[in-house]
Amino acid sequence: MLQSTNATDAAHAGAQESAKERALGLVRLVPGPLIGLVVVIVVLSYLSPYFLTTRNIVNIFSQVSDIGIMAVGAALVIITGGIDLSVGAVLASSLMVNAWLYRYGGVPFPLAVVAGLLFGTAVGFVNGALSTYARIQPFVATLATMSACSGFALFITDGSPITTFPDWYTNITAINVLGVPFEAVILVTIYLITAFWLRYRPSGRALYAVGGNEEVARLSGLDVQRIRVGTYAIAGFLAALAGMIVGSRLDSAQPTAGVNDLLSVIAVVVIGGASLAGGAGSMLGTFIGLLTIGVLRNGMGLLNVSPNLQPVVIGGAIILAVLTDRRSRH
Amino acid sequence: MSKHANRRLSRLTLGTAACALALSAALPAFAADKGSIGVSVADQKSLFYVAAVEGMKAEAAKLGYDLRIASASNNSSLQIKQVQDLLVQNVKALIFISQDSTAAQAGVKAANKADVPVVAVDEKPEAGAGKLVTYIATDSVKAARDLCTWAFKQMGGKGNIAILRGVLGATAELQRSQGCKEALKEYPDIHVVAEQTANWDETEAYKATQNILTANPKLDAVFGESDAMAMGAAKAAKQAGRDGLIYFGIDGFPTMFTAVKSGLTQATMAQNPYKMGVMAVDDAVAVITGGGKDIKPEQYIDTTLITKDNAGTEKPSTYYGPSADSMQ
Repeated sequence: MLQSTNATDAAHAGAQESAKERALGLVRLVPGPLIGLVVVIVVLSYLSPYFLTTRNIVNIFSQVSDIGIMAVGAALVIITGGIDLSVGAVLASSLMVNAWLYRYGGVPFPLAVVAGLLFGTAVGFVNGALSTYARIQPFVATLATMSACSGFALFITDGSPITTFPDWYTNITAINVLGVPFEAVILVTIYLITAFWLRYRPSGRALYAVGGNEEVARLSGLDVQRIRVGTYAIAGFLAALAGMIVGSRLDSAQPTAGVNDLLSVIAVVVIGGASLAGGAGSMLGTFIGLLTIGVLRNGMGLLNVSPNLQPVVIGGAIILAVLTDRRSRH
Repeated sequence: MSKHANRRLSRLTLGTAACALALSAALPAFAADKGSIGVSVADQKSLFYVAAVEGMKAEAAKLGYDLRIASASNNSSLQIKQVQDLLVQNVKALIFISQDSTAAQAGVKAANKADVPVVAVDEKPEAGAGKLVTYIATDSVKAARDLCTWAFKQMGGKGNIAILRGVLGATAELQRSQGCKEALKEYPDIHVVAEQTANWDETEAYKATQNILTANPKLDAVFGESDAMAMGAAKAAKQAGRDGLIYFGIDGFPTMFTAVKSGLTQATMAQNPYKMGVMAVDDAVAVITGGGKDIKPEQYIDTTLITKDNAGTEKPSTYYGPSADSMQ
């Protein structure tokens, strides 16, 4: 799996180092968010007999797949020091573009899917261009595209959903590969590829440089603006991909899909230890953050916790996670 | 990008905006001679409101009145401003579908002050918040009570149900919850084993139902307080391989007709927004032309129970206007 720090770094302990210090060093190796996740899992397993069943674990993975795919893009943008508020709206608008082309535009379904993905990528490009070349702050630029996209999603069909798609499309979220739901396979694959890219490829590592110190990155020969635009485009593409998953799951395209997802996505990335100031964050952390939110929501549903209390718990979890994570505080 | 180019870009944007404004001002140039009726509506996303406005448009065109429609995108402070803007344009009556009771109160007060008669639809201003010609709505409490009673009978008067609630605190959510609770009082052997909110949203309902099914191996029915949530619940159960449950919602949207026909869901209560829109315009016109003394202060439109028995013969367009049949 993915390792966030190298165990050998801390293992070069001198002979004078006391046992206490060594123990502390070992504790520091465990990513902060992971401790929280383990605590939540232990508590929930104790409270609900259904929590640690295969069926439920499978459910958790399929429930977080759409948010999780969006969170990858959001995390990349946040690592470069930007922010993308438009992910949920891009999910809805690209899904509607795809469904509309298929239902009313007479486009064959596979092509319509590609068009939906291209639409999301294009909005990502616009986000990137606005926040680099046009020098609009990313928060403002993506706020504008968020508004435009959520309106556009409703405008296409006057607010009504489009239903009934080909079987192969709805099967994406129905079939299992070796007992694992296919959407979970897609989710984990995206995390692994992105983690590899961020860690071992120069173009991936450049994201940290851009987010850490833009001036230094520029002076060391990185094309900062191009990297930023590319990152927003990836985020747009992934939001559109999450839209395809949502559409497949329900066999229907809702213009209001993803409307409540933005805060969940940001929460996932932040719990995972990324810093909104840029330059810090990892795919392993984001994945742990995703599971934390997913497990909390699932567990509260199993225990039938009052719906009014659930957002309070999530809010508390965010604060706790950030407080216990030493690296992301400034 | 250079500073100069930046300035040019912003000038271009301003120019475009100015053009758009000029165009939109020039559009409703052919007002009918009988005068205009103002319509303030909470949003144009929900099919319910879209259908109500369709009904208004059709009836106003028939009677030769011009409609001025403002949609507030679920923002109550924006809606109050829009009502004031409509009043400034000297509308002869105001048809008012308010976002919530806050907007309702301020809007009705402003219209009363300007001596413009108000027809309220769907959302009721608090008592004593001004004068209304009439209030037209679905009796949501009764609709939910009748629907839940039907479902409990289907269950043989005993068993476990889950309830998926709408946005907490919304009028429709409160009334639909209350209606089902009243039905539950009559059936002591029906137990509510899970109650979660899914914010009227199909995806959220899908996820919530997955968890509810996991925690409750013995579950007989799911009440979704909206059609979208009932469909999300049915699809989650289908995916989990659980069958034989009863799923029922409220709204009567075209997609739900299809779902009931195909057996995915079992029942819905169809509301009649198109008819409400028609009635609202009729009442407004009656008052404008000096009549309307016999209009009842509250008019509740009955819902229709749609089940497998009548889903084939009933048409969505009866409830949601002519365009609804193409949405199935």
